[in-house]
Amino acid sequence: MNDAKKLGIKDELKKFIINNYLLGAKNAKISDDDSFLEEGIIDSIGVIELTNHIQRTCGIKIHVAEIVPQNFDTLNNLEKYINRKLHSK
Amino acid sequence: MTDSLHGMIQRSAKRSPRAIALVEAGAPSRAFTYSEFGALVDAFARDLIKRGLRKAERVGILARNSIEWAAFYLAVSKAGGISVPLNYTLQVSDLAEEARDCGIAALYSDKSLSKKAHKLAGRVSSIRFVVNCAPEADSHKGVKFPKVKEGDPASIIYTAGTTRKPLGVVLTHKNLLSNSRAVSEYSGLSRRDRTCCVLPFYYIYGLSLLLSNLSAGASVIIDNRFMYPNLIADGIKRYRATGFAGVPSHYAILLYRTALRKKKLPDLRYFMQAGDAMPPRLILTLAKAFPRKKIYLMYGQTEAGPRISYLSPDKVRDKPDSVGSAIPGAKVRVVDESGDDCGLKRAGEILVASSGVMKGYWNNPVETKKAVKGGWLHTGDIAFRDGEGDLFIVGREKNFLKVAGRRISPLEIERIAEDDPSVLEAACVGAKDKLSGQKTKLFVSPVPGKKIDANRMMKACKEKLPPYMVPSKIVIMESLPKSSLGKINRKELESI
Repeated sequence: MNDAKKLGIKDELKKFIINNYLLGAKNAKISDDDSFLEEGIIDSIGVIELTNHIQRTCGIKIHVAEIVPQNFDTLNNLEKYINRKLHSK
Repeated sequence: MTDSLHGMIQRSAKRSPRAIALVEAGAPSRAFTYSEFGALVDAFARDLIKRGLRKAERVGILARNSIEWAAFYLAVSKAGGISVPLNYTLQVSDLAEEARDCGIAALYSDKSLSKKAHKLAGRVSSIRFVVNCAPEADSHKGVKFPKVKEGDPASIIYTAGTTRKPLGVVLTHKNLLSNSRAVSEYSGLSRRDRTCCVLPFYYIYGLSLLLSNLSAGASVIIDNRFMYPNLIADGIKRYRATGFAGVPSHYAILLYRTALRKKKLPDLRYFMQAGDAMPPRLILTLAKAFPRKKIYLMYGQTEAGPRISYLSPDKVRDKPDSVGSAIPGAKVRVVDESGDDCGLKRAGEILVASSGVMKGYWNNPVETKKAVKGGWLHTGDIAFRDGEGDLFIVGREKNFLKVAGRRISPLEIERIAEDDPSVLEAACVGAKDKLSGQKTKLFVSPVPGKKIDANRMMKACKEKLPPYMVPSKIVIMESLPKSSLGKINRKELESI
C-alpha cells in the first residue's frame, strides 16, 4: 500500500483510474463525485481490475456482494468504503 | 404490404397498446408501454421532418442504450432517413471518419454524450443539427411522412474491422425485419417474453435483440449496469426476465463473479450467446448451472443482418462447439477454394444467402462485389459440417495469422488452452518475429481461485500442435482486455 499511503487512498485510486481507464490522458479529469457508471468511466472488466487493485494495495478482502454503486460508484464512495473495511479489520 | 421498421412497431402498438415495450433497469427504473413508445417514436419523427430532414439522409445516433435511443432509431425510419448507430466509445476523430464517409446530416445524443456530439458536429460539415432531447408528445401535428419501401436502406452499421478501414454495412428494412423475425421464430419469442439486454444497440447483436423482441411484441429490459455484474444478476430476477443475451465475457463474469448460479430464476427461459466463440467448457458450465434453461448458440455477421445460424438448444450439451445450421429462411453452404461444396467434415468458407444479407457497403462497390457474389455473402469464416449439417467454426477471417508462410487459426491454439480446467479465457495473437515474420503469443486468464501452470500448458501445446503453431510465449493475466462490446481486445494484446 506504498502509493496509497503516500498519496492517500482517494488520490491513489484517482491515479489508477486515470492511468488505466482514461489512458493517462493529460487533460483527463475525474471529480470525487463523478459516477463511474453514469460517466462510462469504468466498464465491467474495469471494475474487476479495480477490485483486484484495491485488494492488493489496501490489503482488504472484497466480497462480490459488496461491489455495488453505494460502495464503488464514485471516488468518495470508494474512500468511505475502504476506510470502513480497514477499521473493521 | 410494404414493410418497414416503424410499421412493425405501429402494429405491435395497435395489437397490445398497454403491454410494456421497454424498461430501463436501475433506481429508479422507467417503463414505456407500446402505446407510449409509439407516441414517442411519432414525436421524434415529426420533429425530424420539421427540422428539415429529407428522405434517405443519414442520421447518427450517439447515445447509451435507453428508451429514447430505441424510439429515435425507429423515428429515423418513419421520417424516411437512414440511421447510423455510432459506437460512443470511439474517439471523436474515428467517429468523424464514419460520419464523413456516409455524410451524416443530423445527430442524436443523450445528456452524457452531448459534448462529444457537439465536438463531432463541429468537425463534420454535413451535420446540420443535433437533437439532444425528446420533443413534446403533441408537437408539430399534421406533418406528412414520406413513403418508405421495404427495400430502402434503414441503417448503416460500421463494422469494427480489425485489419481494414471500417466499412459501412447498408441494411434495408427488409434485411433487418426478416432477420429479426427469424430470430423470434427459432427462439419462440412471444408477447410474454422479457429479454434482458446488456449489449449496446449500436452493435448489431444488440440491435437485432431489440428488433426481434419488439417485432414479437415482447419487452426489452435495458440494463446498462454491467459494471456491477451483481446488479445484472439481481435485475434478471427482479424484472422477471425470461431471456438474457450476451457475449462470452458476460457469461464468464456472471458465472464466476456473481451469485447468478445460486439464484432461482423461475421466469428465465433462455440464454443467447453470439458475438465471439465461447469456450465449450464455459457453455457446459452454464448448462450445468441452469439445466432446464434453453441455450441458443448463434453465429452471424453484420453483413448478414446479422444472424446466419443457430444450434438447436437440445444439442448444446452434446455439441457445445457447434453453431448449428441455417436460421429459418436462410441457406448456408461450405465451399472450397474453387467454389464447390465441401463434403462432410471438410473445412471451407461459409457462404450465406438470405433476405438478411446486406444491400452492400456504403459507397464502396469494390468491397461489395468481393463480399456478395450472385446473392451469396462470402463470410470469410472457415467451418466444417457434421452428419447432421451442423457447422463447426475453425477460424474467423479477421483473426487468421500468417506464421512462417502458413495461414493458421488462433482458435485451434485457444481450444487447447481452454481444455485446461484452470483457464477461463484464452486468446492467441500474432507477434512480430525476425525469422518467421510472425509468431504466436498465447494470453490466458484463470478461473477465479485457480492457478494456471504455464509449463504444463506449453507441454500440451507441443504435444498437440505442429511446431510452427506452438506459441512462442504464454502470458498469464488476471483478466483479458475487452472491447466496449465485451469481446476480447486482440489489438491491445498484440501491443503487449
